[in-house]
Amino acid sequence: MPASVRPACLGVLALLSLAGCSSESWPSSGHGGIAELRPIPLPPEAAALNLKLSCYKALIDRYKASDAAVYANATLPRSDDLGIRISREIAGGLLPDARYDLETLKVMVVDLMEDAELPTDKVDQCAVS
Amino acid sequence: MRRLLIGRPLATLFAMLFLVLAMVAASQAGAQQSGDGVPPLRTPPAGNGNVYQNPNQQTPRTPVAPGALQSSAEASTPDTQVRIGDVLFLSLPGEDTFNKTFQVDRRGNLLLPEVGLVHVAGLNIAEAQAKVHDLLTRSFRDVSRFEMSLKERRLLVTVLGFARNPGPVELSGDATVQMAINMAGGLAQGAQLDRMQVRRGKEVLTFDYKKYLDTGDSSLLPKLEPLDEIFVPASPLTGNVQVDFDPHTLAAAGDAGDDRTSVKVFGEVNSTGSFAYKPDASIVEYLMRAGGVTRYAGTDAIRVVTKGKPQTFNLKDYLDTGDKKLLPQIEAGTTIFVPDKQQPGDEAGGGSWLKNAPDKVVRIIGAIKSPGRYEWNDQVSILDLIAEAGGPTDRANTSHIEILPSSTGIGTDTKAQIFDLAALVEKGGRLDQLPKLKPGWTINVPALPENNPNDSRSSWLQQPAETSIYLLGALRNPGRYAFSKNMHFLDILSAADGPAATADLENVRITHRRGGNGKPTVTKLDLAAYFNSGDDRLLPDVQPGDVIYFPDKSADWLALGKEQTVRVLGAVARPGRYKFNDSMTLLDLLAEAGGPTADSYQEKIVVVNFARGQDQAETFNLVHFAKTGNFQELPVLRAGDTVYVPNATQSDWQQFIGGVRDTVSLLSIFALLGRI
Repeated sequence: MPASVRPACLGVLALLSLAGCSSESWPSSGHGGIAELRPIPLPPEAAALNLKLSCYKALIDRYKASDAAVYANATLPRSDDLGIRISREIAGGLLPDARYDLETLKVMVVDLMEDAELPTDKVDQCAVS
Repeated sequence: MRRLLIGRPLATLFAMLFLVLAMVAASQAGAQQSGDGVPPLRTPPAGNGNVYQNPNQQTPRTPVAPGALQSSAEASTPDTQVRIGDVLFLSLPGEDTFNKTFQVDRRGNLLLPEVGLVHVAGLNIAEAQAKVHDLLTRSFRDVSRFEMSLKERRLLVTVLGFARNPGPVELSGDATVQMAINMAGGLAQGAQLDRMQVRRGKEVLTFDYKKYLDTGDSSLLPKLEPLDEIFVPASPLTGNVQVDFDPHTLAAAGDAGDDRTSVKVFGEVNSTGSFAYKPDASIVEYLMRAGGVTRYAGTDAIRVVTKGKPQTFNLKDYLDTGDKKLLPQIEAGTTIFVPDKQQPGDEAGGGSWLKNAPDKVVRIIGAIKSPGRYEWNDQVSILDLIAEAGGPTDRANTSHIEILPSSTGIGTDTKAQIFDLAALVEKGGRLDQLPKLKPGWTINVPALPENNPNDSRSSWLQQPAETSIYLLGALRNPGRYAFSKNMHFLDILSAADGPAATADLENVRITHRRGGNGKPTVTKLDLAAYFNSGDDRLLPDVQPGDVIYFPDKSADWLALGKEQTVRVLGAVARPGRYKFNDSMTLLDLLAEAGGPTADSYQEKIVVVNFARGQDQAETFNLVHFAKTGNFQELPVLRAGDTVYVPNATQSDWQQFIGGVRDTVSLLSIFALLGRI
């Protein structure tokens, strides 16, 4: 290889190598896909939402503990599924969706409380928390 | 012997005395011996032959009638005529084969030893003895002491017809018809008693055996002679088909044996039938024999037709007064008809519906037990009318009774009304709010179609659309079904035999064609959730006219919205759209899609979340997950998201190696150019 060509070749080699590095990178690794069973550490904002969710879940558990659970109420399995979804959304960083679904869950919990003739003020307390 | 008598008179005298005594003793011994030759006889109790016996009492059949010896005390004289069946005693001293009884057979012959058949029937005893004597002289040397006497009279007759054991029977000489029937086992069930026959050659003697049984008058029975045939006819009630019948049933249908003279009783009696005519019987007796009148009988106008002349008998008046003059005369062949009380629907005319004008009646038709025209007045409600018509039938659609005004302009309201009797019965209501009927109107009680509309299209078409509900799609029996407001969603679902196995229960659609503000609305029903929870609130209120659609699970994927599925793309065995719920994870989805392929880049499985705020993408390293088992690495996945499994060629290393390969190729080209 002539001496005059060597710098040119090295330049092409460097450019090609850098071209590989300049391609679009893969997204970061996800998490929280089964957060209801495998919780992960949360940032403060997400932790606040998770606290609210835990409050609703406690009311749902209270409903289950009452005799009302023996009565047919399709809201109960739906609220359980929605709680799972919200847990994952919070852990996965989908906070706007989590807030929206928490409002839906609140309506469901109110329905359950009324069905079990339990006070609904606890639901409002969860919403404030 | 003659010389002895002549030579020694005294000795001869003693010898003869001794001989006579010996012969007498021998004769008695011979008589005893001959008695043993007679067939064995059964001796009945004393006087039994003269005592009435129940003809139905079955007695063991014996070859000789009871009482034969005792009752055959007819004196035997030379002029006595020998008859068939007679038992004759033939005496021939010194011959063992004689000195016993012989019976005249059915042909009138005696069967004698060494002689054979000798016809003696019709001869008197003397003639018969002479005839036999002549024949015996051909075979026997000394027959001078041959004698014949009548030992016993017997009857050989035949019982035929409705006897238990018909056939020839042998009786004592003075036996009666009753004894002959008894010998034949008695009468069989179904025998006609009042028209029995004795056939004697071509002569037929008919006698009333029933009357004999009633009165005991033996003169009513014909005297039997040899070879008579007693024929017991069958009652006409036994019919032309041989079947075992119940005598009680037979009796209930009457006892007449002659249709021409029998008294027919029918109508509102408990047992219609033809009954034997009795001259002294009144109409009351015939009604009693017919089981009496029923509760529905019109006893004030019983119709009696005697000799073609009809007349009316008021049983009620007779029972009130006891006046026998009110009783009609009953002759042979009389017909008695007991009408029922006024027929339902016949009120309008007292017998003829034509007598009432259409503007004075209300018609009720359709699925009603007694449809017809009913006289109308303002005091009668529609409930009274339906009740008077017997009520609706089992298949009546009582929730949609149609009240049709008269087309002749009678009444002011000409608009058809619908009366929901089912709702009134179930929920109650005020009677003053019942629809007001007017004379000339028509009430139609429609009938429900068959349960399965596919089996009866014709009746199914009769069902009005406004009372129908439509079930379509993946059902066992989709179609149009009758429906009322009182019914429930599950009622109509059950009527269609439920959803099919391939039905998508989570996506049932109900179209309310007359929804809010009269506009059609659609309700989505997750029937699977109902079956899981049993929450009735999930079930929609359906009304007549609504359409219920059950989609099939295998329906086109376009039917599913993007919010209901997760898209799986890239290097998986079965890329596509998959239904996903919140309890599932990415691993469930990959498994459903058949897993990543061998050339997939499993370290960078991408999940794209469709979010309300900002969409985001995350990766999942399946290989690392498999090595560590850390479930926390699973990314969030929800319905509406997208999963992409890249190919191995898209990995960073492969990208770098590709770049190096290209660079080396270019450098090689440059090197070649430099040498040139």
